[in-house]
Amino acid sequence: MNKHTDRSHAKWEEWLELSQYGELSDADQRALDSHLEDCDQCQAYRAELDQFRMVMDQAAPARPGETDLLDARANLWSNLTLGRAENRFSNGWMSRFVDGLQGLTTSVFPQYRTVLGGALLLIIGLAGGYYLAFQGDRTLGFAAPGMGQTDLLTNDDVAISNVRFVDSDVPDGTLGLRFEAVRPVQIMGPVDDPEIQRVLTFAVLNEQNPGVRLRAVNAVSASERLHSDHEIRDALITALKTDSNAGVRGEAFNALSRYPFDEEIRDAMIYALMFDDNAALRISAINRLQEQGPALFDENLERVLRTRMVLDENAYIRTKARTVLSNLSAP
Amino acid sequence: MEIDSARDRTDLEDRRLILKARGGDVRALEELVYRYDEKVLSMAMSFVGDMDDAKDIYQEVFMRVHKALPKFEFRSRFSTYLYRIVTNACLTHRARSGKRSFVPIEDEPGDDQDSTKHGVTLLSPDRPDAAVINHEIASRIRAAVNTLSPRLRTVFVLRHHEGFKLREIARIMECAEGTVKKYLFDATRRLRIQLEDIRT
Repeated sequence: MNKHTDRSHAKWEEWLELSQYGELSDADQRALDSHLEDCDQCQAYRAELDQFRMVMDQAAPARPGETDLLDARANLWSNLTLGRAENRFSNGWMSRFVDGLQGLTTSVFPQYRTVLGGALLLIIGLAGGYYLAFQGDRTLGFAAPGMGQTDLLTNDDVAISNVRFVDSDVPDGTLGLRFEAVRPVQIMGPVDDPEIQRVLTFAVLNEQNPGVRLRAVNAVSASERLHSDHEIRDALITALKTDSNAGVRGEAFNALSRYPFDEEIRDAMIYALMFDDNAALRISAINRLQEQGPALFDENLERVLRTRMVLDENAYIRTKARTVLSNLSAP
Repeated sequence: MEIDSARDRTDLEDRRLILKARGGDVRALEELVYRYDEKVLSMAMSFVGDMDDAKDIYQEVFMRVHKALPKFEFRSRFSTYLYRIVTNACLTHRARSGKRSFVPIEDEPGDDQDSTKHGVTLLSPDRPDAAVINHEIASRIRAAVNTLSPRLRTVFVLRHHEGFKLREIARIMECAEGTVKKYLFDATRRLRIQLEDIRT
């Protein structure tokens, strides 16, 4: 048995640890092996390290499975989709305006930052007060026939809210809608009238009452003359993806089924299959995608089908996803 | 040399994907995520030991990366940058959640004195009580790892559980390789003392 000083052993012990992790150079490893042959102390230390390593390995955390990974990915894409919507808002003109003001006060006149900030607030307040004080002539009133309804609605600053159906069963397809644009406005017209469509689009996207949203989608769906209208179609896609009410999403899905199948509608169907928590809607989506045949098959759809065939809580969808995947991916 | 050139190729490919993702190419972003996300989830699991927490960290990391991608300046490899975010997210996640209560190493409730004195042994999986006892021992080991300081824990987890080379860990932690070695020795020494009564 060789005798070593503590100092020299500190080095060998470090080398033993590095050796266990494969971090020793070839030359150092040879020197260590040679040393180990006749050093009992280092052999004992190596045995201790081996034991420690075995304990740590046996108690190592479980490796994530494929299901965990697919689940994490599905959540990520869902979060990123929502995040993009937020980014669009944060990149808007208001955000840039505020950033610009901040930049002006902090970089151009840093020493007058507080004073300039106060002055800017005062100017904004005065301008806002002036705007409100002199808006009287433009205030909207109750629109009656011949009172320029179109003018009321083509103003971009009209705030539409509280949409209600007042007369929708007229045989000629005319719709009666009541809504508030500063004060309540009632208009009547055919369903393909641009103003009616504008209110319908608003109702689909913004009305708080799901019953009204549903009727708006139904009204859109009932018309034969809307197929070329992208604004309504986009509203339906948005409703399918984001409406909190499953009935509204389902009606939006049905309405979209009447439109020519294009890439945006396909993406909306894939989105519904991936993220909608309503199984019936996911089934409708997978069926609709299957109907389109292999022409639309790509990596994105493949990924979604693979996720669904593993993760979907509905056994029918899991089986269907597997079938569709094998049918569509077949050469 | 071969490893370095493979790494350079990966780096170049990452760069290409980042530039495309910045231009709004969702598939490039997806490819970039899928190159690394398995490792990210694995790292998170090694740090926090709970799959739900690991998935939370996965989300946090990639949301942060997605947000920061437009400003990424290629000063370091993307992978190094990403793993640094993962490490920070793991360390702060534990501090923030505070929901896990670790059993202290000393005076563990219900732990009988003799077993502490004579040691405990990880059981063969064939034994009927193996799952329960091994789970308890694994919890104790995890608790011991969590008593390490963030730097020691980072080095130990990355080296021992995730197999990172010391040089890579040094890049992730932005410190010298010698410092990482010191942290590793220190972590191993402390853990060996705390867990000396556990045998396989």
